[in-house]
Amino acid sequence: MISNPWMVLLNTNGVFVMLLAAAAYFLLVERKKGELVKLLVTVGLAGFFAFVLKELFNEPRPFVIHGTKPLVGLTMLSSFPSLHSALAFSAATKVTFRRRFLGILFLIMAFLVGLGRVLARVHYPVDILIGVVVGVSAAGVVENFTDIDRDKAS
Amino acid sequence: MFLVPLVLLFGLGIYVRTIRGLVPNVASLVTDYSGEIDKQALVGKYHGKEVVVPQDVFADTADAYHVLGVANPTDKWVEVDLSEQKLWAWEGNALFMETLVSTGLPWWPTPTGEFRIWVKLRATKMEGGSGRYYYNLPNVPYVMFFENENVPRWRGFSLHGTYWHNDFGRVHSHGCVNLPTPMAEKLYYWIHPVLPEGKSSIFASEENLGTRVVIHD
Repeated sequence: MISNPWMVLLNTNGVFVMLLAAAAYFLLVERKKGELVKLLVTVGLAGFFAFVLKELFNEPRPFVIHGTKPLVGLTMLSSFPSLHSALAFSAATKVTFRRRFLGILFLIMAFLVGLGRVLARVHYPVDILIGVVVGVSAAGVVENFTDIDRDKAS
Repeated sequence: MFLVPLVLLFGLGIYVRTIRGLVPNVASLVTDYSGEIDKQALVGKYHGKEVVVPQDVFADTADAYHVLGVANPTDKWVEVDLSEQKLWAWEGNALFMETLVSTGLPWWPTPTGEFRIWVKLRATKMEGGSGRYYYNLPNVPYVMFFENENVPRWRGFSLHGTYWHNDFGRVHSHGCVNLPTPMAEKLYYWIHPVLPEGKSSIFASEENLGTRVVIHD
């Protein structure tokens, strides 16, 4: 499954395509700059947080430990948690807040990204799990804070 | 509510980082300094995988090497290059041997500096790591422990033979310098302290000094 070039693309740079797709949706379909900004803040927060955690925990990746070769790219940072999952799930959760059905499609894609990175030996399942927690929490935090602003304004 | 997991994870990260900074990395824990081969221990464990101890580890090799009477033992030194993952054994300017090695992974770096061999053991059990990185390897062959004033004995750094991987030329270890077993064997009978007649393991002493080991980036 992972040797399929499409899976390799999805599990390496595919996450950026996902982020672009979400941005394009808010910009071109909904045409709401405010939502696009929220998406960027969400993804930025998730990415920043996952990066800080990676630096703090500094866990080695599975392929390094087992002396095997990784099957996909973007593996220069440490293993825990998964930055790919954090980014993908933050964007997917943000989309889900606005559009349930489209959001579910994004969540499935995000899940495939996480699964693929475990199969490609660049992550342990727990890295993905915490990546999901970081991504969903980041989206929740941004949504909550912006809701408070809206309440004040109205 | 969504802030709670983020704050908890951040706190845990700070905690883990602090603990790791306070406790120095122990490359291997060794309790048996007899150097005896344990013929009962045939299976080791490395990062959750079982490894069978190969037969060449048990080979009786001492007789194949006569004691190498070198005029000036202080001429001998061992050089390890971490960036090239290579080891050279020198006698003055003459190269005795050269081999690829595997040193410590970025999480368990091999220390740099000038060291001396303080004991060499024909075989010993090494234990270390924790959780999914736990390892327990019986009969690690041709072990040459080194130390200096900054890196004391109990941190367990050594040059030794390797039967659980074949990844030489790339970092792989918990801090030790892993050599291919035949190379470790050759080095073991060359390096000081000199083995007395009939013994296969020896501690260094004032009269029988250990060879200098220089490890650099």
